[in-house]
This record gives sequence, C-alpha cells and structure tokens, in this order.
Amino acid sequence: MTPSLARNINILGALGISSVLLGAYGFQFILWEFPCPLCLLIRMGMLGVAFGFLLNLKFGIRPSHYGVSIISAMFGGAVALRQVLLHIVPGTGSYGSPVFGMHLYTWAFVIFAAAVLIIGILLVFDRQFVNKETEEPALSGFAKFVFILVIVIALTNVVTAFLECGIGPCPDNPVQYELLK
Amino acid sequence: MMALLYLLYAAATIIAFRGNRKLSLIIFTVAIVLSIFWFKYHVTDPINISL
Repeated sequence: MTPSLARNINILGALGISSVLLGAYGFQFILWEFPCPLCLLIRMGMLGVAFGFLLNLKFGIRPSHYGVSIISAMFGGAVALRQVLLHIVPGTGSYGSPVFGMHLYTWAFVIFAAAVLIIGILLVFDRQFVNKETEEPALSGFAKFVFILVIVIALTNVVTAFLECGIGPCPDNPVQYELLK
Repeated sequence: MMALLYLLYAAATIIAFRGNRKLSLIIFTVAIVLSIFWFKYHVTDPINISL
C-alpha cells in the first residue's frame, strides 16, 4: 500500500465518520430526536476516530495516529455497548427510531467495531508509514475540505450540546433544548 | 460539560489543522480522559441482565 493510497483511505474514513455525524444531526433536527448523554459521548468517540485519520493526512501516516483512532473507537464502542445493554432485555424499551431494524447506538457499535477491524488491516501494510518526521505531505484540496468539515461538525456540536444541556449535566431523557425553553 | 468536551475535540482538530501536532495530541488526550470520566458519571444504574 503506497502512502498515497493510504492517504486516500484516510480521507474516505474521515468522510465516512463525518457522514455518520451528519446523519445523527438529521435525526436531531428532522425527526426531532434529541441525543441522550450516551449518544453525545458516542459522537465524541466518532470525532476521535476521525481525528486520528486527520492526523494522518496532516502529519503523515503513522501508527500512533491509527492508535488515536483505535482508542477513540474503543471508547465509543464501550459507550455504545453500554447503551445496547441498557435496552437489551425485552420490555426495557429503546431510545430513538431504528434504522433498518437497529437503533443508532447499535449501529454505532457496529461502526466502531468495523473501524477497529479496518484500522487493524491498514496497520499490516508497512510501506504507507513515513520514514522521517519531516515528511509531512501537503493537504490536498479535498483533504482540506474533509478537515474543515470535521472541524465544523465538532464546533456545531459544541453549540447544540450547550443549547441542549447548558453548563450542567445533560438530562437522561432530553425532550427540549434547556437553554431555549 | 458536554459542550466543553466537544470544544476540546474541536480545539484539538483545529490545532492539528494549524500544524501543531504535539499540542493537538495533548488536548485530545485531555478530551478523551475527561470523556471517560463523564461516561463513568452517566453510568448510574446496574444493567438488569445475567451475564
């Protein structure tokens, strides 16, 4: 795997995570399904996975950057698994609308597990890694776009989380924006 | 608190975009550690299953 191919894969990875986070906003603003505290933490895990990919694009492909993504995926996977187990017993209900039969927290766990698997496969290929610390490739136009997209998504989450929860803990079952009521 | 955590992730990403790898990684580390603590805060009830 050449560094160029690896960079393109990282761009796709960051773009994929961004589309998941934008989909979550679709649920929030089109279906008016507010994210619960665990949902918000899952989004942070997603941002962390994308962050690792972006580090690869900006500073060159390094195992440590994949490590950042894996750690974030483990964190996000733990939160998602917690939420799955909260509702796994029949009769305990669920949170939010299902998509193709599974709820978003279940899909999140699948995505985090897939991220760990894919990154593990990527780590097998040594040729992609930079040899010197000075090898920082310039960001392509599309890579810059994906970078800025992730930044915008993170910043909009700052605003929406603040509107939903204020400065204190978020309600377990949010039904409104606390700062707009 | 959630907003602050998102702000840390955003800051880490912005600082990485600006070219400061070390600082962005430090901020990301702080963000993920605080996220773990906040996760622990929200894990309040035992799960009613037999494993």
